[in-house]
Amino acid sequence: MRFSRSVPAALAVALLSSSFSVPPARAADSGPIKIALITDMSGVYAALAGPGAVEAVKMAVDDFGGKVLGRQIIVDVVDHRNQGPVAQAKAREEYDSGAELALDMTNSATAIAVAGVAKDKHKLAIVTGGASSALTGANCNKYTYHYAYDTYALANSTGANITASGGKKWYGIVPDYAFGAQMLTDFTDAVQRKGGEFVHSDKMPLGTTDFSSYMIAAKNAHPDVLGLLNAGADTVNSMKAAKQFQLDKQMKIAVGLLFLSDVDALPDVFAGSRITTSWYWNEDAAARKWADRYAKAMHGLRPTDIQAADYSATTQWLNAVKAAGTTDADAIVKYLDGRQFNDFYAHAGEWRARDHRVTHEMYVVDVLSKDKIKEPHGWFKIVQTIPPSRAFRPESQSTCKKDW
Amino acid sequence: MSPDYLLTQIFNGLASGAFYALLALGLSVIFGMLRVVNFAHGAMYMLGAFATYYGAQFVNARVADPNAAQVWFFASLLIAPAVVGLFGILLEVTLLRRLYGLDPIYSLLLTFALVLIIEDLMRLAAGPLGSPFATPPVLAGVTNIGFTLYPTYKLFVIVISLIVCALAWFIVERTPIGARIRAATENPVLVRALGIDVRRLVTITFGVGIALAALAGVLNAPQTNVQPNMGDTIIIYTFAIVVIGGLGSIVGSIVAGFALGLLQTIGAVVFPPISTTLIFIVMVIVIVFRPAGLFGKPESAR
Repeated sequence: MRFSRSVPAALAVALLSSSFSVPPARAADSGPIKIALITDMSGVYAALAGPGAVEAVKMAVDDFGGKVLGRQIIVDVVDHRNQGPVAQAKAREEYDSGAELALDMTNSATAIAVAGVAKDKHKLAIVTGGASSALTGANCNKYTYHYAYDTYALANSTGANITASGGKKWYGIVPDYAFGAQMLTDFTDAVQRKGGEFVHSDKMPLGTTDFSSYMIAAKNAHPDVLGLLNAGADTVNSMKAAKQFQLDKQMKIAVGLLFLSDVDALPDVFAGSRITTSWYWNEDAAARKWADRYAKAMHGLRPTDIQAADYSATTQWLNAVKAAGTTDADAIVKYLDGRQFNDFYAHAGEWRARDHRVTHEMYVVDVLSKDKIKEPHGWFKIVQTIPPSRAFRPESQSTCKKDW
Repeated sequence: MSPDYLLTQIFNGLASGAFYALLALGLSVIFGMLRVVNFAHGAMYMLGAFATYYGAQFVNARVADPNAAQVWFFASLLIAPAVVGLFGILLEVTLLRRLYGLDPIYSLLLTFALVLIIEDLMRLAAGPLGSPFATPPVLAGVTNIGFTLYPTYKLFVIVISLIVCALAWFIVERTPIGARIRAATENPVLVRALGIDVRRLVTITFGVGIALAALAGVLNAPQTNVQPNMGDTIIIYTFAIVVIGGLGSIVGSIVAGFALGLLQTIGAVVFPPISTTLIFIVMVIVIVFRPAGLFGKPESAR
């Protein structure tokens, strides 16, 4: 009963944020340093970020020693319920009550909302979960970095590859909100660059339960490729419907965005898909070492790339705070812009100064079937590493009007 | 739009209408008898899906034969609704019963609280990550229905739903127990005076209504991910459908369930963004022109 429950929640948020926002809490520089982890704790994206993201960020804080600049680090978990306005109100409340960093924002609508608040409040936001490339385009700002992946990178890799190998006519299944719109724009561009086109696309509400009619419509349009440009539970349900109507026997099915947790949910359905991801838990020894520790804390589950990005971003930010000697966002931005780094998550990483895209390697992976995997959750096989310069939108094509 | 295409979409409409009909039927029977708007109906639907899921886990862990899971699925069409129905009866006897004499808002609040508690407990137990549930192999393929190849499972859903709906209608309209139920709905005091145990009738009706929701959950388990919030969206449509069909009307719920499944599917083809709103637009129109619903009797005529 999402909407009825959110009414009182929204009222509570409104009340809280108005009463708290009176004194912009300039807590003494000796108090704890707060990180606001704004994520989906119970909805369609909870499995790929949610509680796992909380664990990852807490691990990062613990590994850092729990303190920076002699001050204790605390993590506040905020459930944004996949609603932009909720995320916005909560972010404002968090920044006003002393949070120095907002993190995760899985769901583009919430990411864009929080980015706006960060800009107003001159506080830092690092988006890992939200995918919309508008965050480093039309909606870019000085205080927001986009860390893990984006719709441009997915389209540029998955979309272009499939079109180049003969899938010219695309049919899009798109969720009707910020993420879907950007996903469609970026995929359309990438497909067109390779000489293909979108013959049609259907926009549907986030959390659609029955995809049958869209599948029949897609089947009837006889495209070469069915592009599932959605995420999380929507991807799972639409893929299930596509298989039920045997669309996979008549056309290629391109999965725009797939997380390890989706494959965990439905291994048989996704086997054989080729997708793009920003990280895989078994990609190398360092990744694996971290994933083993995560698994220990999470009853054997393996982390998604978002959860790993949350750990990495937290650590990088804490390093920056330590080096800059302050939590002041302007000083941190100055420190980070143009800085190159490497860790178990980001290979050849760079905090790009031009549009605040954090660039690093991306990976094209094949999803293995149940009989081919060597251990639980070992679903992916990396088939191609995309260097940062090719993975993300080139600086020269950036649409970010840099006004800082 | 070719005729084949339209026909296929009509089958899709019937398949989603099958769920709406089962859910609306249960909701309507409960309202007719108890005058309770059961907010927890979606949670019971979710519990039905989880009951069959956990059952399958249990069977798979103990029986090596790959056929066992399939046998369990068919068995769970009866077992899961029975288990969840009994749970419903437990709720009625321990909680709901105490609120009959009070303002309806109390039972509404109670059932709403039950949704929050049950959903969050399931989230705690199963996690927010959906649990996979495979279609039984016998029903996994496609069937040639003349003009197209159609998923066998969806046909199965339509048939089961039609059978259950017909059975429910027959029991209520054509059998002695049905006559008692109808009478008790009209005038419980008079029926009690005739020596009929209305209280037991109420309990059984509630259990049956809940079992119908659980059956819908079992039937949908192979089609979606089994997850704690799966009842959230579907229950909102179901409320709208019950209002359109007429609160407490059995035929109304069944007809409106299938009709709105069709409408939603056709709507999704014509103009996708409106598909989920269409039901509510119809609801508003019906409320304006026939406040008691298409098949409902106005409260004053009872």
